[in-house]
Amino acid sequence: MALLEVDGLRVGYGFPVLMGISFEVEEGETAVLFGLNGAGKTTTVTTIAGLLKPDAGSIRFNGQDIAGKRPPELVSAGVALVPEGRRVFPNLTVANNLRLGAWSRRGNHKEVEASRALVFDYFPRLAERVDQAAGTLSGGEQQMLAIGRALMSKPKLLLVDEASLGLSPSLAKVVFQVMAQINEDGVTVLIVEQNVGVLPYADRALIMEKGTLIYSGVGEEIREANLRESYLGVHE
Amino acid sequence: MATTIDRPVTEPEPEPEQGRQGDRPFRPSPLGWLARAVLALALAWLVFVFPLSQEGFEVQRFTTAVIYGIIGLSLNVLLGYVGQISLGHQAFVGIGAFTSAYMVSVQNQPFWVAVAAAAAVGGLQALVLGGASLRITGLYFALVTLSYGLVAEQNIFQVEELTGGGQGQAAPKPAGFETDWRYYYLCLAFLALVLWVDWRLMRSKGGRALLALQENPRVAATFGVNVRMLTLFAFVVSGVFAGLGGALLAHNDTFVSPEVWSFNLALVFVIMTVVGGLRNRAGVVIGSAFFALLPYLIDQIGFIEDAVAAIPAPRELTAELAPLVLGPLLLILTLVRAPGGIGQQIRPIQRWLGGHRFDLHDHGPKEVKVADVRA
Repeated sequence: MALLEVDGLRVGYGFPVLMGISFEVEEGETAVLFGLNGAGKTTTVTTIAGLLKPDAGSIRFNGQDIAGKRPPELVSAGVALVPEGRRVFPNLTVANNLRLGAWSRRGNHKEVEASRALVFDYFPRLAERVDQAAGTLSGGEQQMLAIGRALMSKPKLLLVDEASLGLSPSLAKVVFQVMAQINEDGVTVLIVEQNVGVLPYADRALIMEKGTLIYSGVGEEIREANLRESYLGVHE
Repeated sequence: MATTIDRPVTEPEPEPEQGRQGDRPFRPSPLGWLARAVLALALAWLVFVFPLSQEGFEVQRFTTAVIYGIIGLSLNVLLGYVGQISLGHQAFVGIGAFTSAYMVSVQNQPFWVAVAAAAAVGGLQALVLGGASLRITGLYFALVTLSYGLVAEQNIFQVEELTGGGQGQAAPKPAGFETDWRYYYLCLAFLALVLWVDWRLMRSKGGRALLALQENPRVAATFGVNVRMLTLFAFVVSGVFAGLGGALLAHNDTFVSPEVWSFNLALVFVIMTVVGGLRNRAGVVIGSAFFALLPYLIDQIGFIEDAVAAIPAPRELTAELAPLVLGPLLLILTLVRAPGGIGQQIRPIQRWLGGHRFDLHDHGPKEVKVADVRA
């Protein structure tokens, strides 16, 4: 059974944005959602995360219908979102940003500490900056913090919106590598990206255009040059 | 499954560190400590001794300044921590004042019960008003509170049973604190209590979440923070502080009159909080006290009186009206020059007193943005 099943999802902001998209993400996969600006990628993940209500269609997570549920319920169920543009809380310290990520588990001190240790294991640099205001971190560090903060809720499904936005290619590669490691450790990952550098780490690729899904593929086929040239406009 | 890598992962090209202060250890010399002790003693004298050297009426003004500190902290919870503006805060303070006066004068309850009732009524008002209106934010929420203030002014403050109608309500000082200076110290103790509660609140998980949702409620929601409930909680805390401030004001003046609680007062409350410096307790208390003491300062310092008199106005500019004239000017100055308000300006002194090197340009992290005070 797929961990995430999206079926006929329609979402709009007074005008239609998602025109009834359907896809699945299997448990343990890293799926990547590609598309140009305005394709509807962010709308898709923010709807899955409960920040937008769908007009029609269903979203099933772990066998449960979660369409229209509010973020607190979804975080408790195991869905976490790393929002576009990092969106760390600049005036709070790294430690407090991470504590906020564990808001849904705030009564469980030991587990929260274990999650924090795991985040520092993934991102040792954050441990060095633990008492520093998040706004004073570099762009790469802020992205690490945003991902670490989302991990603090101990998610089953991690939604990452534009993980490499504004990062140098080498730093983007590091972020992709860490997400691969997070995936190795048992978290299913859905990444929204425009950077094809993420493809080597992906098990599934989804490509969107103007609110519809125009391609869905798994395994080795998504690493073939044909996909890059036909759908992503990358000529090698 | 995706590519495996070995932990730990480090960046191949560390980006430059931004905004970090030099961490060189600094220890003041014995002379430095002595200078700090002298300044600390001078400030303590200003707060604890100087007001008592004044006439009874003037001591009341200083007590009002302390109570305004509580009211400023009340607005700071809402405006500074949550980012919502209340233009009807005079209603919360006024209803607190009348509640306490009513409990003491009509119900013959002890002062402590009356003050607790006023604080509870303040919280209850916020709960009801916030529960009904916190789905809306920003300007629209400000309009709701403005309307509530006007409704209180035109209706609630005219309820004869509660307010004595046009006659007002007596509010004697509590037993053991009948003298002005004793009551001054009692209000200082209440201010210390409010400061402690505020400090504890902001060190709690809820406090951190409040700051987070002030910065970005949408992102805070993605972690499961119940934005509406937390905002309502902050509004209730703000209402409790306001009710307490109102009760203390009532017993300071020993009488509460309905016409005091006008929209003008709500404006002064907002201005003094912003000028004091959002999210900075010391700044808010100093800013609030300054506005409360403005009439006193104008009376005492000749050139300020002359300067105020020189401001062209359609009617005579009395010391009581001065906060409404100087307030907006100070507000503009704050918005343009120092959005962190007085709190931002006194930070070098605060840090120096705490044993750090004096740095005139150390205004701390740019916590308060102009957008905060244009909420």
